[in-house]
Amino acid sequence: MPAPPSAPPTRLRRLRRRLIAIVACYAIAGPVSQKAIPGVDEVFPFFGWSLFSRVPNLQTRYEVEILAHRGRALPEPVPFLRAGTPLVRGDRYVAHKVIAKLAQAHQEGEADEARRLRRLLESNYLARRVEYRLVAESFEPLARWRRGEIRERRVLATYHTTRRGR
Amino acid sequence: MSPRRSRLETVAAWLRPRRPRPPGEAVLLLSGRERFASGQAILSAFYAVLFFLAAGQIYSWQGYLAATELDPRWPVLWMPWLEPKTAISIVLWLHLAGGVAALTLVRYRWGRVLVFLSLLQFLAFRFSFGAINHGAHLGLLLAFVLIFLPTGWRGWPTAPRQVRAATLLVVAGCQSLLMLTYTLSGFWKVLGIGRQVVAGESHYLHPDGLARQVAAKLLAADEVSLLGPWLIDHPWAGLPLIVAAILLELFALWAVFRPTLHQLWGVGLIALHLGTHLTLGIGFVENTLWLALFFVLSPFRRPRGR
Repeated sequence: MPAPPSAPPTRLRRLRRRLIAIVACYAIAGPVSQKAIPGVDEVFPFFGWSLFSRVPNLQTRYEVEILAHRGRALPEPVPFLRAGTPLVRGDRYVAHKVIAKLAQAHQEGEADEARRLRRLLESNYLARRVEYRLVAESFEPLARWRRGEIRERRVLATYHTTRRGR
Repeated sequence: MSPRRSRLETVAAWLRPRRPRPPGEAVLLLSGRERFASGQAILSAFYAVLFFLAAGQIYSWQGYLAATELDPRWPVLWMPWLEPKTAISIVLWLHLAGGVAALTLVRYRWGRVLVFLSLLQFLAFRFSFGAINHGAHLGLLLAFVLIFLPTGWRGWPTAPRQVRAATLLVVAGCQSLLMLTYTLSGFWKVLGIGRQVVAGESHYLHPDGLARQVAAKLLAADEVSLLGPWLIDHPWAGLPLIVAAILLELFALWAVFRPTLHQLWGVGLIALHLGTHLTLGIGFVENTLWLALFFVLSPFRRPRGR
């Protein structure tokens, strides 16, 4: 026996309502997870999709510079992103985000958070027995690009990798 | 004779549906057999790609298994309870199983749930090393929406009208969620412009706004993109590009409801991703694939020659 004519539209309408609810929830939960919870950058897989929303007028860049390896000083400090495989490993893009978070935690005096991020950095991205320093540079992007101008450069801290193993 | 239309009116008329939609066309949009077949092909391609991505991860397993320190995201909060190697092995094998399920079991709802959960676990693990990469989010979101596909969605050619309509409705749900992310991104950029105008700072509508952003990104990543240095040297070229990009993003969700615009918006947003890679050095490769499948090949686009 054929289904009554009203049955299919009702089921479709229910499905449509569910899909709209999913889209609406994500539209709200994404930005809330990214912007409204203090100390939390985002709650995966929710995300507000605020990417490159502001033009940087004055930029602060954080970097790790490797000073020594296995007790031997390197001829000159090697920036993390340019360091070779014996000194660093893993996904450098992700590692650079960890470095930025570590520097910010250090600057804001969040000792526990800095300790946790340092452990994460040293365990996953740095070789053992490495001496490194955490550096902050402030600059206006176009002036730095065109003329190499840096407004301020500060060494935030100097560390030795603490873990054993590799 | 009708009065001559201004250019703006011509553009506005082109963006509107060409004729008033006759009663029943909306129903046809969801129940046509050709559109249903096209939707089925897109969804099958989507799941095949998920398998491909899961299988491709095998080459990274050794690196993942060497990890000892994690900052676990909430879906993998259980991982620290086990030995790191055991916990990581579980996630990796589950991801591969989810990939195989994407090829073989997605006709069943529980199979699609397995695909979603395996991907959620793997991505949460991958993002537990201190930072989240947003290039893989859309695949996960789409896998979630596809859980709602009706029973019999792979049936052909016997799928009843109700199943055809429900399948295409879920495809439309995927399109909406996909484009919502772009609209949000565009919204924050417009808000950012407003805030920076008020603060008296350089912003995206300033002639060197995009050049400044490109310089900042390249300096932060300590790398040089293919077209980034040229754009920094010719900042005026950035203004039309960024205005087009913001408009494409902001009105992406609006374009979902205008099937005639699906291809245009799909190609436009793919061009946006290629452009950001060539200038800013940022890759959203998976997104370009989802845009190609769900918009450039949209089952709702106007068939050629009609």
